[in-house]
Amino acid sequence: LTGRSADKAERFLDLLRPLQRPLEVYARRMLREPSLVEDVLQAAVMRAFARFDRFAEGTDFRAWIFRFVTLEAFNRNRKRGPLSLGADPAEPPDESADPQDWAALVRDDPDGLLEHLDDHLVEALGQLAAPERAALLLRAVGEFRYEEIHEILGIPVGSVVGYLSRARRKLRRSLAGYAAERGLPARSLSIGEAP
Amino acid sequence: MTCTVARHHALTYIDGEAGPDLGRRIDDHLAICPACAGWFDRQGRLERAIRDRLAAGDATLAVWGRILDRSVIRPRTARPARRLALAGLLTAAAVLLVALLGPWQGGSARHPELAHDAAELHGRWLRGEVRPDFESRSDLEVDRYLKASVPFRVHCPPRTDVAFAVQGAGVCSLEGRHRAAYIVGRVDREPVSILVLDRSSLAAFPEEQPHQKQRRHRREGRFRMVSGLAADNVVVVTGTAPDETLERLLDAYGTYPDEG
Repeated sequence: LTGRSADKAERFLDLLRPLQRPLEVYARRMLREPSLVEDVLQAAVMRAFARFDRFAEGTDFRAWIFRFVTLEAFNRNRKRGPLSLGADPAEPPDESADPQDWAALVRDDPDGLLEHLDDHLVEALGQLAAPERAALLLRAVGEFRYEEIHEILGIPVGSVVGYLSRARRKLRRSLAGYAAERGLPARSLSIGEAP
Repeated sequence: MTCTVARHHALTYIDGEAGPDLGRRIDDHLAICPACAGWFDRQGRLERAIRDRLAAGDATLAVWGRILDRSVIRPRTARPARRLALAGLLTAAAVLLVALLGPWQGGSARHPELAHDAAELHGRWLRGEVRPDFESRSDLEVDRYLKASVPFRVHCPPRTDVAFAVQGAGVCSLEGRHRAAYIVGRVDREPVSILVLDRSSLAAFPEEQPHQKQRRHRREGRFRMVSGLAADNVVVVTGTAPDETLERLLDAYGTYPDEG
């Protein structure tokens, strides 16, 4: 690489380097088959670099590169079976619908509780519909705002809210069921309780 | 605003996405409703705990090294094609040599994974592609950072008594599985990196095991490296300094008293 190409590569790398950790974690969590992480990142990085001339300086590179990884992850997951799109997100679910009490463990030590459930968290994540998982991970790993998730996934902001809400509810329900099987306080993972 | 309405918007509020009007109305409600204030606090803590779990993990140095090399993005490491044929010939010659001479500790024909990862890390640091998570020129500060950040027992980096000037440290994953700490700095003005793994990780690097009671000297490209067991750790010191200098750092690792 020389001249302009080298400059382009240097600029691309400058923007990419700080994102390597979140991109890899995101890909790892998004994929049904974890061994594909390197392939997905490789393909996404190559596609992004090939289109880097079209990237507008001053806009959000994070959202731009995450979109490539997201599309690549969707494609790879699709090859391993049809993607579940989940329920229609147009109508956001009622977040206060589970009238249960909260256990002291969440109040005092949510990290401690999740430590027991770490493996199952990954499993529960795998049960989510594709856009639910993507929305949740873009929020948690990429720390994107709703508006940015809307741009990355190409869906309306209202749908982002709906998918996120459903993802969180399903995740907590799954963790609660798993915790109950092991004698942990399942109710602590309820998403809501009656005032 | 009622408690039910406030809680209906809890996650949007916790995400900081409620908007100024809704956010202010929820704030007003929380100010006069201790039950909801406590409930929002618990929701927020659980949500942050889940988020932290989902976001946990490190970048894998070797993975990104391969990605950037294969993508032909990295300008200075792209290997000219004409060198590949020569490399093939050299590899064949080296294999033949090893077959004739038998196992030789200093041979470079084998490509040990740990040595490769250490060289990858060192090269990426030199190229500016890796910056230590924690930058400091104080060995005590680096020691404290490592003890707080690394999930296994680590020891203080070499100090100035062996002419080591620490520059920082970080945590990484090797091959996506093995957590490792690294310390970077200079010795006699030469850049040096020190890769530190838990002793239990030795099982994953069988090529290290026959030599665990002695120092192992190797080369990866232009880098020299010395590895061995030190205290609770497997330690690989990598750089371009002479072998005896690298070995001096390895010997110093783990010999300083803990700060408590």
